[in-house]
Formats: sequence, structure tokens, C-alpha cells
Amino acid sequence: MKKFKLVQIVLAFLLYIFLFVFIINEVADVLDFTFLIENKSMLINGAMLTIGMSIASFISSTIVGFIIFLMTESKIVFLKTIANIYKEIIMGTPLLVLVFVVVYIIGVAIGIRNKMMLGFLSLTFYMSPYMTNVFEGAYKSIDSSQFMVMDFYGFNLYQRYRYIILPQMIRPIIPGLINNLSGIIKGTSILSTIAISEIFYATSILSNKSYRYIEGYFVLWMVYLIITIPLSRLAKYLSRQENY
Amino acid sequence: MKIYLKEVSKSYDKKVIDNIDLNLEGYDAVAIIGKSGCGKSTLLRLMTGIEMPDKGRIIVNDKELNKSNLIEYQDNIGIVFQKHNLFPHLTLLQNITLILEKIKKLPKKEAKEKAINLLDNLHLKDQMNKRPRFVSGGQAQRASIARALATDPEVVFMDEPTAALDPILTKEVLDSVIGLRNLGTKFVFVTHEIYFVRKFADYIIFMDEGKIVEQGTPNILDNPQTKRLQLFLENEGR
Ligand SMILES: Nc1ncnc2c1ncn2[C@@H]1O[C@H](COP(=O)(O)OP(=O)(O)OP(=O)(O)O)[C@@H](O)[C@H]1O
Ligand SMILES: [Mg+2]
Repeated sequence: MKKFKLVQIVLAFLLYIFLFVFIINEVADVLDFTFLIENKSMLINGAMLTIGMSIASFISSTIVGFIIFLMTESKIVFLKTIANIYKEIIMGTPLLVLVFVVVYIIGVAIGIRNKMMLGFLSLTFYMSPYMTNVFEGAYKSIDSSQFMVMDFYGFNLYQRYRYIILPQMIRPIIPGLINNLSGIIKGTSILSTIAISEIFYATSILSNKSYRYIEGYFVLWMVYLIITIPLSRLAKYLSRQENY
Repeated sequence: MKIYLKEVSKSYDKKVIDNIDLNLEGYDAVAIIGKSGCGKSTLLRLMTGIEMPDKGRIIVNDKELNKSNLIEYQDNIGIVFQKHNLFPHLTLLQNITLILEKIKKLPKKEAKEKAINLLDNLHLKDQMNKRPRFVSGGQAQRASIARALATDPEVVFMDEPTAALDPILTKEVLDSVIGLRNLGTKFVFVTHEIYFVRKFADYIIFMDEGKIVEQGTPNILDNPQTKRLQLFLENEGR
């Protein structure tokens, strides 16, 4: 039985490999990757920028998302409403549109011209509500009877979060944070539209110059998958671990 | 502590507690019995101030319970529920020291000594560094009793503390409770274990449909005055 399962898994993988090879064969006779190898420093710099931008936006959107989370859980209706409006607006906006809004409207309004900074802000805005959702999910997993106990003993707000709520949230948020990191990495590709030379932009330039789009975008695709698939597997693995 | 309920009512979708008058003064172990859904847990939540009545008053030491003196009242009582309610990310010991250190502001060393002492009384000293998930249901329930006792309450309220346990663990928990009564703690408890009520309670309240139908010393179990209590005792099969 177990052996049969393994055979099925191998077959599924083979099917995908076959499809890849088949499609690539259909669209190109000779594949030539030399232009990528010759310009590998540009690609590596692009990849570095993608990773750096992703990590920076990951940290900032986690912080902003956490603040929005605290606001949504607040008893003060004013704060709650501000947070909910923010979430609705951002989650209703495609990243591509948000980037242009940040660059041409918000950036102009607050006088920021640096495109790296604007890209970073766009990603931070865009991901923060998804970070809030991760925090909210973890918060909801805390049994209501614990809140009753905290009420009974008269825990104040700080004591609730510091000793009871946050320690129990740490484990359940990790898979969600990892998935969002993966979302950010994919999202950075949109920054190419404002000429930030992350990996997507770098690859496009090289492909344009050499007319080798197939090779260029294929390699680019693989680079994203090499980063995102392990992340998603890790998130899946961690979410299976029991929480206390 | 004098606890007195005057014409207390509480409704959710329907009326759950219906105009109850009750005086708990002078008893050391009050048992609340009655069939499922008759309002026992609700009555206990009202008596502990976890919920407020829609109508009527709860009078503690001659003062009506309200938002401003609730904290002071709850400082002097303990609660234990059907499920153990321990914080799952903390060990049995930390569950108690957290309350003593951070809420009651005891010095660290003193808090730890006191917690260990309490756990020892409930025969949990060897389990104290485990988290609730890694001890048996009975041990977790005893730890939550220890936590309820940590604040030196005058009265401990218990809502079916053994309902989730098998007979052996039930006996283990109830034996500990008897031991505590002998040490002077007062109890108000909801239970289905009629044999335990006979052994332990000095006052019994029988409820049905949100009302107190009979109350009195354990004698009422041998001489039920109402058909409803008679039926209830027959159904409990003891
Ligand atoms: N928070 C609530 N919201 C709505 N209805 C409730 C709530 N708590 C209790 N009830 C209802 O009130 C009635 C009495 O409930 P309660 O839990 O007090 O009964 P009980 O005597 O403790 O029963 P059991 O022996 O099963 O624990 C039930 O019909 C229950 O459905
Ligand atoms: Mg109940």
C-alpha cells in the first residue's frame, strides 16, 4: 500500500517534468542561457535586491500589521474603525494599483521621490492587512475560558498581552508569517514597473537586449519557485506542529 | 463571608434563573444539584460576579455587589470549572506563581514557596513543572483547585469539577476537596455525584427550571418533599 503511494507521487512529479519539457520544446528549438551566465552579476544583484526588499517589507508590514491588529482588538471604537477602514481599503486594492497610488499620489503628497523608499512603502502597506489577519487568527485560537479567568483575577491590558495572549500567539502565527513572506517575495516583481532593479527587472532588461525571452523568464520563474516552494513547505510543516 | 441573593433573575433567550432568594450564611459546604440545563452553572456565575443578574440583587457582607466592589469580592473567592481552565502555555507551577507574582504582587520567592506548598497539598509536587497538556485530567483539575486556593479565598465555587473525569480520577479530585474542607476552606459546588453530596455537603439546594425547588440539610435527600426531587434522585440512580 505504502509502496503504491510512493509510485503515485513519483508519477505526479514525472507528469510535471514531462509538461515542462514538452512546452519548452514546443516554443524553442535551441535554448541558450549564455546571456544570463555572462551577466550573472546583474542577476545576483537583482536577486539580492529582491531578498533585501522582501525582508525589509516583511519586518515593517509585520510591525504595521501588529499595530492594526491591536487596534482591531481595542475596545475603543474610534481605533477599531480606523483599523477596519485601513484593512478594507488596502485589501480591496491590487498591488499594481497600490504601487502607482503610492508613487504618484502619496509619494508626491508627502514629498518622497526615492523609488526604493516608495517601493518599500507600497509593499508595507499592501502586506500589513494580511499580517493583521495572521495575528487575528492566532488570537482567536485562544480559548474564551482563559479570558474569563483573566477577568476574574483582574489582569490589566498589559498583563493580558504580555503573560497570556502573546506567548500563546507566537507559535500559531509562524506559518502565516512565512506564507506572507512568500507573498512579499512574489510581490516585489511588481516593483519592476517603477524601475527598481530587482530580479524581475534585471531579467527583463537582459531578455530584451538578447531577445531570449523564453530562457530569461523560465529561469526567473524557477528562481521564484526555488525560494517560495521551500517556504510554503516549511509553513505547512510548522502548522502541523501542535500548539501547547 | 455572608452571601445573600435577593429576587435574582437572569434570562438569555429564555428565563434561566427565575426570582431566586438564597442565603448562604453559616454553611461550609453548599451543594447545588438539579438536572442538566436547570440553571446551576448560571447561578454559580451570578454568585461569583462573572455575570450580573438582569433583576434582583446579590448582597455580600451587607453590601450590594456592583461594578465598583466586584474586584474586591472576587479577590476573596476562588473558582473552579468543569474544564480545568489552566493557561496552556504555562506549567502547573507557573499557572499559580503568575497570579501570585504579577496580580497579587507577592515577591518571587514567596510566590514560588506558596505555590509549591499548595501543589504539594494536592499531591502534585512531582508534576509541577509540566504543562497542563502533559498531565492527566484529574491532575490538571487539582492544579486548578490549587490555583483557586492560591489567593486564600474565603469561599471556593466549583462547577462540576469532576464532570470531565473518569470515576478513578473523580475520586482522586473529590478526596482532595474533602481534605481541603478539613483545613477550613468553604465551598459552594455544583455536582452530579450524589454520594459525594451526602458525604460532603452541609446544605443542599435542588433546582429545577431556574427555581429552587427544595433546600435544606442533607436530610432532604432521604425525605424528598417534592415529586421533582424524588424523580431526580431516582434518575441519578443512587
Ligand atoms: N451564555 C448563554 N447564552 C445563552 N443561553 C445560555 C447561556 N448559558 C446558559 N444558557 C442556557 O441556560 C440554561 C441553563 O444553563 P446552565 O448552564 O446554567 O445549566 P446547568 O444546570 O449548569 O446544566 P448542566 O448540568 O448541563 O451544566 C440552558 O438552557 C442553557 O442553554
Ligand atoms: Mg453547568
